Amino acid sequence: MLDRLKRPSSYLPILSLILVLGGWEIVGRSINPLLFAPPSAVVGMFGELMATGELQAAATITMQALFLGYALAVIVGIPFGILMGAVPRFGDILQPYLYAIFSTPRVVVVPLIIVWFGIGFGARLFLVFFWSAIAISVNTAQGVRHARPDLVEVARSFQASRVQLARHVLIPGATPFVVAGLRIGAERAIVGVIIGEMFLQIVGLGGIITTGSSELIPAKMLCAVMVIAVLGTIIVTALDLVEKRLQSWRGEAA
Amino acid sequence: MKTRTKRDIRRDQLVGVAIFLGVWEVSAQLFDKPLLLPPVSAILAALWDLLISGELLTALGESILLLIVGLFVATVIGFVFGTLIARSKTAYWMLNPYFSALFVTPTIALVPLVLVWFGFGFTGRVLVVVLAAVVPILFSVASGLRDAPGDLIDVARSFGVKGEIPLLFTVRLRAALPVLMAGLRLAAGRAVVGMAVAETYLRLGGIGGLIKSYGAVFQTDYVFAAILPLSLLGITLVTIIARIERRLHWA
Amino acid sequence: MNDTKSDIPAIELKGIRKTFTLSEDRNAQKVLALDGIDLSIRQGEFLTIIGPSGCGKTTLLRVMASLILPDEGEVIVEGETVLEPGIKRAMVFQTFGLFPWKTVIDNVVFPLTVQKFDPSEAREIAMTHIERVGLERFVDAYPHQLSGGMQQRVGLARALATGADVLLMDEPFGAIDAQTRELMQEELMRIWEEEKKTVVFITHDLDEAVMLADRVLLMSRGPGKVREIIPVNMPHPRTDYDVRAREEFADVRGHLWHALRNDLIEQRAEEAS
Repeated sequence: MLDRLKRPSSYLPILSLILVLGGWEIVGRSINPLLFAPPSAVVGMFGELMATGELQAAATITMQALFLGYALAVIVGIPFGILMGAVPRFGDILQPYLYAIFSTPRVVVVPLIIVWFGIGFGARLFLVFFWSAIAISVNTAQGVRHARPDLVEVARSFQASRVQLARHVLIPGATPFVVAGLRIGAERAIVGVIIGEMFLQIVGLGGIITTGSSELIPAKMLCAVMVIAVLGTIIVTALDLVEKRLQSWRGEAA
Repeated sequence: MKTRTKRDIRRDQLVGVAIFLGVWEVSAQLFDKPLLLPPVSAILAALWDLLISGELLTALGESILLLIVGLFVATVIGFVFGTLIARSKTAYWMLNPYFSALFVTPTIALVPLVLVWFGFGFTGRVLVVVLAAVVPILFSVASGLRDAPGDLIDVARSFGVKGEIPLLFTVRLRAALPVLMAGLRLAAGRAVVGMAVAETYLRLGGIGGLIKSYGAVFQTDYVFAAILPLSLLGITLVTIIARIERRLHWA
Repeated sequence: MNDTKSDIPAIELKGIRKTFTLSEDRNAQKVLALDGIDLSIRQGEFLTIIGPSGCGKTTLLRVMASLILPDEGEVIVEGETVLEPGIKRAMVFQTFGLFPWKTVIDNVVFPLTVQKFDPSEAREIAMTHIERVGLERFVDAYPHQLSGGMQQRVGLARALATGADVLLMDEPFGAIDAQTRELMQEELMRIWEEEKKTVVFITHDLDEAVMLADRVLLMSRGPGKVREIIPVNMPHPRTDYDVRAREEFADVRGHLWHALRNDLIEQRAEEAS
């Protein structure tokens, strides 16, 4: 274990973390607490929020919308994407709209969402679900469409039926794209839930940022941001690992 | 399976759009709740009004300015730090975790902090765009430089190119260009989001501000009308970069 | 050996004509790829096909495999007209055509899975053929872990596992380095001798064409026609002696060389005018 620590890849991040935290602490103490907060204050706030249960409650609310929204996005997105890929006409017609929605920053769509869904769980869920589902669909469709024609020919030469073709060629070939879509969809979901909580219904972790802002308590804001950053990192890293595992057959040529 | 030409696709898409807009118009008129679903005609009218009054162009101008400045600064910072972590293992191990963390943190979550530190000014808004866009550029620069084109370096050296900086510019950056463009494309998309976020949250200016102010008074037709140019801005920017990216792909 | 059976040609082509449309608009150029091909291939024969680029040899092979349907004419395999790929013919591809997500054994088993073989039986058959090509230590490897030569051996094992009588090979050793290629040629010859398959083998390598073949089919520059069929009367097994030192070899090779050269000169002249 100690040997591991001697490696630069281990001690340098720790070193830089110490430096950053140290510098932050020093700078933080000298600045007006209404503007900035040192790590000690953030940790203190973290403790406070945990003690009152506020942080856990907020995290739960965030997780609910995030996981439910993402799950729905996967359940709807993958079949929809397969349909878009298998019926090129359908996919082509739909593509401009999906792309337009995808390219529109959600912050500006919030007023519309409020008009349609009001301010509540449903609205926030939509914000998570819809954009995540689009990412998943589009990538899945791409995977289905970009079946390698040479391998399709190989399968045909061995008289594979359409079902066998799908099972042995199309689906495995599409898997990398689907998995990439799932990862992108997850990233979009995270952003979506935070937007909803900061603008639509002030609850959850995003809500703590907003309240921290209006109460002029930077420590609160920083605390919530930290938690979100950590959560985001965990989710994305987990998905990265899954993606790599599922692609072990690709080797270097990914 | 009959192959579909680009013309077939365009034709289908246009027909699709025409039908879509037609259905929208008719159902919006029948539904008669302009607040929830403004008819296409109302949206177009609102768009026209925004154009004539100059509101749209002013707002668009402010947005594009913010976008360009933000992307420029993000590119510079991205290049500097990207080169740094590509060439120095120490720098990589010390700085990379923060860049990764920044990448996965929704820009929106950082905005209140920027507000507290920089207020409602232009600097703050630029910072938001930079925070949104810098990491993809940084990572792509680092990635592009890391995969050094060994042979090409030798070729350059044999023709008398001496020193790291000249080598950097003559060979490395050029070889890394495709990866850079991919990163820039990703950054552009995020920059547009950052720009919209900054305008909505930090100051009611630009397109973001326009949408928000009409949203606040529930003029849904104007909201739609203002969202259109914003989407187009994002799509156009990303498409341009994607085109350049495709041209650069010699592999 | 059943005499009547071995009289029936393995593959017969009658009046094959095939035109391709180059692009997808109305004024598209049409290219006549095969212009009336008649051919009869004996069972157990090793036929190599050689010709200038664009002469249609790959198209011809695909027609034999029924991967492409001709506009006119018939493809007859062992006496029956065929319209789609079948178990009597197996193809070996230039780019190997292995499924990257399947291991070696799963790749070889694939055609048997398609034919709905019992899984354990299929595995046994596959293993036999994997051993045949000397890859028993790589049974669970993925294609990306194998060299080009090894991947093609898997392709060969896969084709052999189908039990097909006819092997259709599309420049199978084209993407493989020279040394490995020689080894693979020998291996192929050995397997051909042992299993008495009919082999149709496309190559652009003159030496290879003459060395392996019973007959060499020389195609003319496009549109594809059979220019000449040249018998190669050297004894089998060809691995027992230095083929290239034989006069027969030099004769046939020289003949092919000149024919191809003239084609090239004509083509250049045409392009210049």
